[in-house]
Amino acid sequence: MTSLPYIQPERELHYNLGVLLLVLGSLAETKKRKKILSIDRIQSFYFLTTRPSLLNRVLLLANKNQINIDESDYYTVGNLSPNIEELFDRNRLLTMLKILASKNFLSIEYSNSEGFLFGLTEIGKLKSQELTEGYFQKISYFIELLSELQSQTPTKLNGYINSALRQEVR
Amino acid sequence: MNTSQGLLLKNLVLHGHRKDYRVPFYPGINIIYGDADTGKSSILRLVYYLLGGKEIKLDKEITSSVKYATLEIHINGHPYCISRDIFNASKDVDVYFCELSKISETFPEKYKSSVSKGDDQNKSLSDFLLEVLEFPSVRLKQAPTKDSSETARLSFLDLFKFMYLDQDDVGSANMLDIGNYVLETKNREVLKYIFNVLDSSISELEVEISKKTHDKTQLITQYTAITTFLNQTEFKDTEALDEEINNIDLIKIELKEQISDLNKRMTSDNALYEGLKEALNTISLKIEQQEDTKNSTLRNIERFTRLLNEYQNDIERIKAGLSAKEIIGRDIPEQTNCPICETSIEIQNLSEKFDIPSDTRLKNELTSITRRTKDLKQLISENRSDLEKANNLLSALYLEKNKAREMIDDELKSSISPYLAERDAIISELAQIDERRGKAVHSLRVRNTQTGIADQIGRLAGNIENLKIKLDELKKNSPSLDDVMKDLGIDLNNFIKDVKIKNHYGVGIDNKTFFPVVRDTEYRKINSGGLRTIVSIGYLTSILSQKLRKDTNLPGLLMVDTVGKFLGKTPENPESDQLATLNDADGVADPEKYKNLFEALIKTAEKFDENNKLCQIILVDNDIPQNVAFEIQGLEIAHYRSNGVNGLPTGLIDDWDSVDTNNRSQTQPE
Repeated sequence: MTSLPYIQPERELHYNLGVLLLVLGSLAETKKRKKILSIDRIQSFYFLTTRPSLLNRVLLLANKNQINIDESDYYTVGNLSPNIEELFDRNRLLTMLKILASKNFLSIEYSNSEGFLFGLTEIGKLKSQELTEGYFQKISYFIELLSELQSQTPTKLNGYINSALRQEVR
Repeated sequence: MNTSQGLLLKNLVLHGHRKDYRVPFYPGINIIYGDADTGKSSILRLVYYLLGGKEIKLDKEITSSVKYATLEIHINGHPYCISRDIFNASKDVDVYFCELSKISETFPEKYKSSVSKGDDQNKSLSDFLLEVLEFPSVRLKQAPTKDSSETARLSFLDLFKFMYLDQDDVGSANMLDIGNYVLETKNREVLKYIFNVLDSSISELEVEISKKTHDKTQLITQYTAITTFLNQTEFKDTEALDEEINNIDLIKIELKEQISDLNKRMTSDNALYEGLKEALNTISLKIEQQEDTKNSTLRNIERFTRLLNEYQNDIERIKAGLSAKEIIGRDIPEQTNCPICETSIEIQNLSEKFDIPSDTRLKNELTSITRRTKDLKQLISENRSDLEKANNLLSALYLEKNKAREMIDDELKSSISPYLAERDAIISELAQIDERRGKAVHSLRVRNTQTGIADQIGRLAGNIENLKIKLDELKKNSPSLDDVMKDLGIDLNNFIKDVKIKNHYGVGIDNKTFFPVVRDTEYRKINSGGLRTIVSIGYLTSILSQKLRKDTNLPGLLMVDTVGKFLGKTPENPESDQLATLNDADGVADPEKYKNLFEALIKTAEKFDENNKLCQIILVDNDIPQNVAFEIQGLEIAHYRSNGVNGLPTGLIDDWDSVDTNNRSQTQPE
């Protein structure tokens, strides 16, 4: 538990589980039904989904369509100094995946070329479709755009993110 | 005392950088006394220099304070001013034929500074002085006994030796070039000249008269030519020029008044300009304040808007979180099975990475954030209206500022410019008038020079007349050298009698050397310095006194520097008796003789006064005898005390000390 007297919604467990469920539900397979979500990709997509202004810059760098983000998405206090800890916190992601597995939402396949690839079970898919309240609407919209980046290799994707972060710092 | 005959010193003026220093002289006795190193001797040296003397030693006070010096003199009643550079003795000397106060209105005559530089065209100062003094101009034989001897022109400085005893000469065994055979011979010839007993006196006089007559004729021709020229060119006469200069001066005063009036008006009209400028400053200040307000509201709006967006996102996130709880399920197991290998895995560190607040808490937070959102919106709208106000004020202020600027420009154009034009006009008129004045002054100088020539002609005429009388007299009763020396001896004897020396006998003049003899001992063999002092002063005084009996070719001027040299001045007291007795082998006690010496000199001046003849005796000493001090009150012309006690000046250059202090405190060159 945090000792702060107010709630930080970004740290709330179920909100984060919801975001992860949406990422897995929408991005697990390409349009050609090919599974692509390795741990590294999940981590990158999850990170971008919650940071719309950064997402926009990455899309620009990758030469993809940019999103129409609201003033409220970038003109915030948090955007003045982005927290990049989550990009490298593998344990945080693993904990969430374990919880989803315990609920039987998570499906896993093994590929020789890319290792373990994650997706959702049928129950998981249903649950993810139910997440439409509040901020989940925006998350879904961002994820839709992220699908443009599904085919990028993890190395390239990280390269874009690093460049975008440097731009932001500047 | 009749001051219209002979040489009379009037004023010595040192023209300085800070001010002019003036020493006045009067007929009869003039006494300069005071502490050592106050410039007493410099006065005599400067008089000597200005009358054609050779380069002189000057004190630091004078060289650093004075540019040049002028001596105002009267010769036979006519005023002359001799002006000479004190640093360059070889420069020509300027002589103005006027009084000191009128120097600026006349052109000076230029004279060569020494006889050796002069020739027929360029006269030397010495020639000039001898001429106006109406002394015959002669050439002296270098070896008088030989008929074919080389000759040299007699100089005024040769005469000066018999008028000026400087500090080193008084009582000196080398007075009057004693010991220098050549100069001794020359001085004897000069002495003969002074008493008109030169072998050639009569023939010289005749030559002189014919030369002067020739000069006079030449001057008359010159004068006629100049007068005709001036009349033909319709040159204004002196009176018209005087009037013109006066008129110009009046116009100048009027124009200057106009300018000062104009300046006043300009300043008063400037009040409007000043007002506008102040208004502009006020506006600028207000603009600055409003810009500050604007910036701070802008900053507030930005901060509040960011926070508001954050809150709105948070509201959406909490809502999302709440719905996720429903959909995913609130319970989180502590362990689960691996979805692939079925092995049990633990779910750890949950609370480290995440917050797991209760539903109630989330809902409360939702309400509180929503409320805060409303407050923020209110704040933002207040700031926006502040911003709008500031913007409106600012645009109004900028308008006002531009208007004020324009008004100032207009004001400057309409009010100041015409004044400037008027001012320029007056100033250029002033410059023109100054030029006209300069021309008039120049013309006046030309006129004065013309008058000067007329005066010179008159002087020459009188001069010739006097020479003729002299010549007649010489022809009638030509004096013999023996008679002259006898007379000189008698006067010397009387002088020494007045001073009261012991063993007073055998006083006269040596027939061969022309030097004084006392106790049958010729001057240079007298041992006592004190006695030599008395005899040397007595000798020159006797030569001066001859003017009372006959016409001598020597100005009635005697300058003695340090009268009391070698003479004890402290009154006797028992303890110093022995010394006093030794010194006193020659008569009364020293202080008494010192006093008698002064009185004898005063008596000589009185005799001149009785005979209505001009003489001027200038005496310099550190002190004057106590008894005399009382009697001579009114005779002193300069009395210096180096410490300035009793309000006395500290010296000839009386502001040197203050200058020195000023320089030291300023340490900066002017």
